[in-house]
Amino acid sequence: MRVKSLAPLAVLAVLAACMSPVTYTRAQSPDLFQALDTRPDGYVGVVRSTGATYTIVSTRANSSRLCRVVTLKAPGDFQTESFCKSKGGEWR
Amino acid sequence: MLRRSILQMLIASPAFAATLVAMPGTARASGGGGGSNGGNDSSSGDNDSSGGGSNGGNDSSGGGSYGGNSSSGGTNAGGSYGNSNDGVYGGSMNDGQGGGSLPGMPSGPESHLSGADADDVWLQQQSTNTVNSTLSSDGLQTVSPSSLSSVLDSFQ
Repeated sequence: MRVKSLAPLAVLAVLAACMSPVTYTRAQSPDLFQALDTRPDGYVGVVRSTGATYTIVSTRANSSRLCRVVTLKAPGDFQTESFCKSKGGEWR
Repeated sequence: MLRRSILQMLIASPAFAATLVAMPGTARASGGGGGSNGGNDSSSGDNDSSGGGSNGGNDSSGGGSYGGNSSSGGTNAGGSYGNSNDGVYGGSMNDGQGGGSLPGMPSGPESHLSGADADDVWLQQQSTNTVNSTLSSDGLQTVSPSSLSSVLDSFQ
């Protein structure tokens, strides 16, 4: 009885976890970060760890900050992410 | 007692919060970490393409590129970058997340579509436009293809 009443909450929690935007790090997605370091706008690749297809859309900068806008597509999921860094820093 | 504990854990979890904001019709505006540049709204969404922003009329894909002569430097040296807030678009797009305010650790805006919205090309474009517009509002200029390599090198 108790287990049965908790089932919807468990389903909700699983759904919530699936719908959360993915956070990318160099450790988890070295191919993506390598592309951010070197590839031109328009470059398309695949994040091996997730299978998501990414496209580097544009690059923007000022004297202290560099940002690259990337779209990441996976089934039922679309993310536009801006990876930014300061000089000598890491993409965040 | 057990049920109450589990409920409390679920409600307190970030994943649960993500579900709430991702529900259709609840597109939200969020400061995402309290950026200090203040929010902005690009609800019109008609003046910025993925190829380049057009804020102030001085930034486009064809010109206004960052090539060492930018005059916008110095304004964000504190590393406290605000995020735009945009709750205009329906569905489950959430903008303005991921705000960073730690010096030396700039993070940018992001947007997320899920479910059926993720396959909507128009929403995808709006999502990208919004992120581009936010960066443009932060004073970042489009880097031209010809100067991209040198700019990337200079930030290594």
